[in-house]
Amino acid sequence: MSESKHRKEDEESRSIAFECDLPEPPDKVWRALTTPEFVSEWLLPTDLVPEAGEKFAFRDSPETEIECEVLSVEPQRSISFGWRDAEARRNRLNSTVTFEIAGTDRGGTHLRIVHEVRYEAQAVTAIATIPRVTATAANDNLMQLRLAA
Amino acid sequence: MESEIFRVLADPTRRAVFERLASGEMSVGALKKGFDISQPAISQHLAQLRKAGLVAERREGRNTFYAANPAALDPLLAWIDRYRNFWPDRIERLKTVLKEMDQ
Repeated sequence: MSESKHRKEDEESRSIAFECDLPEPPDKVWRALTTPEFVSEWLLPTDLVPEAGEKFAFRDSPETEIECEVLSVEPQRSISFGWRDAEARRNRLNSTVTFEIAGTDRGGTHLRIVHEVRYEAQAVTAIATIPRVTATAANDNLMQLRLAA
Repeated sequence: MESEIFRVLADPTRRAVFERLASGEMSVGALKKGFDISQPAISQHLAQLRKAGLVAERREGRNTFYAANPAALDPLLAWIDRYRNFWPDRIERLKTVLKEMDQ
């Protein structure tokens, strides 16, 4: 697992990434990652349509849904979709989930999942009013806590 | 805890109080000067900010000073932290689905 942060003047994001090797070949993994029946089984109940621009949802509780939209698809290689849960909607955050696969020389598949979150464009101004020094200190402290944990 | 931070900062006045305190430690009296609300109202907001761990209190004799606790603030990290255990758990389920597929 890795973690990264990116900071530019008016752009800020956080991401987490997970990687694993699977014994199944890429075409089978691709089907598990993009067929709604299979995705509903391992991720969350969904009506996913793996085509760019398609809107769909994951049901994450009896009452709430994660609102999604396919951002890009490269068949047999990667799929990326917007992921807005209730907390993200309340706080004007946008996140993106990307599944990337690649064949391994042993006939299996390397899977990488990246989940990145950023502020909605119109929310950036409000955040920018927080003194930069404080925000930086907050990051450093949290990173240190995480390392110590 | 993370959602508590979100909830507390969702209030514009409370957020403004927090941002003011981020510039340096101050007493309620000093803090009140920047706002058009009563001292009890400010104290209410401070109590909520303290409860969420966003603001720390320091007593010096009869005076109490408040300061923002910068470590508590990183909504993006707080949000994504909720998925730190989610994805590894789902990957385990994916492995099971893959084993049972096409059988």
